[in-house]
Order: sequence, then C-alpha cells, then structure tokens
Amino acid sequence: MALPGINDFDAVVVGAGMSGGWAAKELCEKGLKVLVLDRGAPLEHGDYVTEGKAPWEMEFRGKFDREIAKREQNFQRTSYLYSDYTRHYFINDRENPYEAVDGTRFDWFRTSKVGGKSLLWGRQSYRWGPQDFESNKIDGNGVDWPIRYEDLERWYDYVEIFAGISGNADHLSQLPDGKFQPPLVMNVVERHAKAKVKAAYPERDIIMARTAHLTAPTEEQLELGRSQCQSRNECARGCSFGAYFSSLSATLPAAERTGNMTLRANAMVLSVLYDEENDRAVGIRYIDTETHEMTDVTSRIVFMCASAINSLQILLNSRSARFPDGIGNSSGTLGHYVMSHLKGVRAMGDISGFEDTYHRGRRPNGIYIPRFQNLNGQQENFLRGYGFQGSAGRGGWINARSRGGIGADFKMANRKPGGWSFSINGRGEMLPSFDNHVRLSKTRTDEWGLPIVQLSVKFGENDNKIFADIEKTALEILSATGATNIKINNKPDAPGNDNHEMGGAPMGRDPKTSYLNRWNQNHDVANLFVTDGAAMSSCASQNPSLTYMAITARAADYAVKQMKAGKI
Amino acid sequence: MTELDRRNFITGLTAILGSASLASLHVNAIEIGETFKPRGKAEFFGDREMEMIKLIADIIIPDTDTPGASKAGVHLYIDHMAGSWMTGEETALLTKCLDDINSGAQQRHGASFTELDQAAQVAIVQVLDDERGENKAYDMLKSYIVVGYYTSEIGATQELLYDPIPGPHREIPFSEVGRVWAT
Repeated sequence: MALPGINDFDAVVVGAGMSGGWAAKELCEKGLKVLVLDRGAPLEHGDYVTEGKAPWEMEFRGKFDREIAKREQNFQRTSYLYSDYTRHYFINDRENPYEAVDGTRFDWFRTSKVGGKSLLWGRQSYRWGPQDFESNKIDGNGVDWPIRYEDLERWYDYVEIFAGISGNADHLSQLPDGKFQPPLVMNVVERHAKAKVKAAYPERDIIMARTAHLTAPTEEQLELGRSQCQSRNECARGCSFGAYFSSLSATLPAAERTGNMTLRANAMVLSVLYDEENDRAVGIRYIDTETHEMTDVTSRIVFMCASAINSLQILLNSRSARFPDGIGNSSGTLGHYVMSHLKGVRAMGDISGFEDTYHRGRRPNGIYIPRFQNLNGQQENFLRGYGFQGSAGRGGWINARSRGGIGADFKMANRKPGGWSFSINGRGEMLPSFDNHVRLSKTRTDEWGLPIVQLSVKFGENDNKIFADIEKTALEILSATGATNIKINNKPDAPGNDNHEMGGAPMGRDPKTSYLNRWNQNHDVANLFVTDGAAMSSCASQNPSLTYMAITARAADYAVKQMKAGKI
Repeated sequence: MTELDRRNFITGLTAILGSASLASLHVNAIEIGETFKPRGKAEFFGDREMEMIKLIADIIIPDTDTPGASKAGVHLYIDHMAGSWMTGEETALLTKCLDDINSGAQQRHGASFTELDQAAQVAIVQVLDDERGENKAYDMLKSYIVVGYYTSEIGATQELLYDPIPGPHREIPFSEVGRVWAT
C-alpha cells in the first residue's frame, strides 16, 4: 500500500456505465487524475461488430443459437434485447452466478463490456418530479430523501444539455420539462389515441416519449463525434453515430480529452480498502478477470458506480474490524430497500382506419403516459402510482407467416402493411421495504473470489394493488381509443425484469437509518461516494437513468469542492 | 452488402452528414459484411428433400416481377437452419411434413411430389394451406419459407424496401413508398 499522502490517483471510479461515465467526466474536467475501472471486456466506441448488418449477413438471420444461449446465458437470453446482434454485450451467466433466495425470483440483466448498461438502455429520459422525493416522508415507507426536486433541478438541466434529450415541453407538474432537443413525433394513431383518451379522462396525458436521441446536436456534441439520430432503431447493437447517449459515445470521450483519465477494462473490483486509523477509504482492490492478477490502487476518493447490485456486492465485501458487515455500514442499511419497477401488466388492441399512413425511418421510441394517480393527496386504494410506455404501429411481412394463401396473390398481399395496433405497458413504483435486500453468499464465491450475490426481493401488498390497477386502467385507456380485439396480460414480470434495480445504499438525513447523506457521501467514511442506482431512496415510476446522471454530476461537484477545501 | 452497396452507403452518409463530420465519426468502422453463405452443398436434407423444399417455396413465393423463393436461396436457408439451428424435434417435424406430402402424392397420383406436374403440385400445397393452423408441420415450413425469403437480400431489397440508414423519421402516405419496409 502506498505511503500516507501519496496516492496513485486522486479518484477511483468503479464502473464506466451510465453513472461511472458521468463521474469520470466531471472529476476529470475538474482536474482530478482519475482511474476508471470496468469489469467488462474492452470496447471502443465504433467497434460495434453487428452494427449495420442486414439480416442476410447474419448466420441465422439474427436468431440466436438456443443451445449456446441456454448453456451460457440462460438468464440473459430472456431480455427483450437479446439476439444474435446483441448477445456479445450480455454477461455469461454460467461464469457469473447469483442466487434468488427465500423463495423469491429476481431477474438480473448484466452486461459484459466497458460501457455497461449505457450501451443497452431503453434511452427513456424523464425527470423525477417533486412528489417522487416527498413520498417516503409522506407515507412513511423507506427512508426520507435528504434532497428534494429543487436540489436536483439544475443538475437535470446540466446533464440534459450534455447528453441530448429529445422531448416536448408538456407542462406537467409531476413530470417537469427539461432542456430538450426537438421531440420525435407521434404517429397518426398515437395522436388519435391522445385526443380520445384526453376527452374521456382529462387527467391522463399521452405525450411523446422523452429519449436520449440527438435530434438537433449541439456544437459540443458534434465536437465529440456525435450526430443526429438516423432512425435505424438498432440502438442495442451500438451506434457509431453516437446518436443516442452512452458512456462510450459521450461521457468517456469527454473525460478522455482532458488527459486525466486512465480507463482499465477487465478490472473487477473486489473491495474498497479502508484505513481504520484515519477512518478513510484509501483505494480499491481489483482483479484482472483475464490474468487473475490482483492490484491495490490508492486514491483520495472512491466513487461507486458499478450498477446498484454490483456496487452493493463490493461494499458488502469490504469488511474490516470496524465494519464487519460492509464498509460504512454502521446503520445496518447497506443492502436493504432494494427495489425495481412494477412491469409486465400490459394491453394491446387493434385500431381500424388510418390505412394510408405509413412511415419513413424506424422511430426509436414511442409514447408515454405519466403517472396521474395520487398527485393531489391520497385518492386511490394504493400508495404512489404508475405510468405507461407504449406505441402504435403497423404489422409488416412477419404477419405473412400465418396469413393464408399461396402464389403471386400471397406475395402481393405481403407487400402491404397490416392494420394498426396500439399497446401500452404499465410501469409502477415499488414501495421501498427494509425486508427486500441483497446479501452475500457465505458459501459460494465466483471465479475471482468475490462472494456471490443473494437477492431476496418480493412484491408487497401495495405493489400488487398497483398491478391490479394498471390492468383496469390499461383496459379503460384502450377502450377509450376505440380499440378492438383488446388483449391484456395481467401477469407481472419478476422483480428486476424492468432492468431498473435500485436501492440498497439509501440516501437519508439520519446516519442511523441511511447509508449516504444528501451528497451521496457515506455517513461514516467521508471520502466514499455511491451515485448509481443503489443510492436511490425510492424508485418513482419513471425510468431512472437521467436521475443517476444528475445525482452523479452533483455529487462529483460536491466531492471536488470538499477536496479543495481540505475536508476529504 | 456488396462493394457497390458499401460505396453507396458511405456516399449516403456523406450526403447526410457532410464529409467533415463523417471524418469525425467512426462509421468507417461499421463492418460491411456479405450475405452469409451456407456451405456449398446441403448439410441436412437429401437431394430429393431439397428439391421438394425448393418447389414448395416457389409455389408459395413464386417469381413475379421480382425473383421468388428459390432464387433468394430460401431452400439453402432452411437446410442450414435444419442442420445448424433447429432442435431434433423441429427437424423431425419438417421431415415428417415432406414425407406426408410425398406419401399423399403417391396415394393420389402414384408418383412422388417432385415427379408431378406443376398443377398437381400447386393443388397439393393449396390443400395444405387451407388446413393451416391445424397442420403444425406445414405451418412451420411456411413460416421458414416466409422468414427465409423476406430476410434474404432479394426479398428485402427487391420485393420489399430496405433502408439501412433512413435518416430522420417522418410520417408519409403509404403511396409514397407502396411497399412495406423489410426491417
């Protein structure tokens, strides 16, 4: 270990994805020498091997080999993004096991490359609203957030301008407007649905999805080699245009150009190193996943951005005499209040008419129906609420698989698009509960010696009431649009399947009941920060990535000020 | 993509982005591939079965003003999927489908499917198609023919429309393009 006062780096950032990319950019731009570690294999922006490939260039036309998938990626293969075009970005489940325990199930999607889930995200970018930071205090579930919307507002502005978020100013208090690039546009059936639903239910707004796609790139974005979205809608293969925000396209290049960043791939962090005498984190220990060589790196501050569950795993594994249950865990909250979004209940139906309307370009997003329940006091038989994602579209040649007919007439019929359908998928807020937790196995370690993760996360009574209400509302909304042949799926997806695992290192005011303070700084160990999904004290109903970005930029700003003031 | 397509692709990008901004992008790294070519000879089916698949595929998707199924290599695609992708259960179903067609032809006409004249072959496939939804084996064969055709270069670019880099999305009247997009 290095001598006191002499550090290898000013900062170590664990993880180079959605949050880690931001930590890297902000800390580097403020002049710190930063080491960024990512457990994934190296991946350079632009080195996207399946990008632009036509179906006929793929061995199985995009279908993945089911035997290999079952053997190597038995869980990852259930992702809606998993195909022959994308499977190399997903982790190998056989080599990276985890356990859902206590009779639970948890779907945990993970990536295998530098850039993490910022490469594979759905790009939905919504601010959380004032109600989302107040609900824990109001209904007493979870830990009261130590910040409110106003604390984050200018950081939302800041990250939106850099990342590039397309969206419309909809003037909804529960879903604050941002610094938007022009929105992508609704299609004719979505506009029809919007009008019909508004007429029947004035409080239910259908808006254009707000997504991290460049529609009018700024000078700064062009300088970083990013350009306008080309409507390929093949985002998950990687986008050399840098048209959607990822750490590879945006934050890491920004960090790189400062000359202050050292990025190491295949670097799996095992623990945060702790100096009991000075009560500080002194760095991290990581192992090279290829060579199995172990390295200790010292630094003045540590930013945990490994994605929620991985960050918790590392923190729980950072044990010392003072912190036998994980570094900085005097509160006993580390690993608790794990959440995910309530997803899976959805409805679709056919919309007749509009047959002459078609599209050029594959729009990479859809519509959004923001939460409209319990916004003016408690009105429903459940706490908090839910929104919907959705879209309208027309069937294509794929319908021909079950279409009757043979010969020239059949071939001719397949040239025409099918009718329109409209679908909406509920996304609900799961209540934070101390019982829902991550712990480490006492008996199993992975190939690199890290105890494997055990997850115990269940939906509670309020969550199930929300699922039931989503079903009822979805039917109402579809009916209001005049849809026929309405099909409902009322079976919730398992926790985690939303890809939005959060919590476990909750921010809070009281060091006895929370893990982090209002600056994402550990209550016990002042130079340890956690700014990924683990820090979320509640999960709102909106997609979380934009909030991770804002909270990370804010924490980095604070950390550097504290360092300069000699406080950490 | 052919070399010509590749050049068009890069030229198209330059038109969209301007050459200066193209240089700053990493698009040249986009790997331009060629049609995946299964091994030269059949890897799963025998000659007679390959001939049958070819005939049935062309009956369902014939040559019209654009090339039909066999010119798009649909039979080679199905053979490759059978040899390298399908489960034993699936290939058994496909084989049974072909066997049933042949034994039906034998019973009715006293000859194997490939030996019949075209009208008789079409009549047999028409009967199968009328039973679709109840004949799992035929449904599967038809599904593979459809997917194989519309994901082929001919099916996607000549019969339908394919645009790898459409540019900004917009709403248009269907008549502006007149055919569905392949992707």
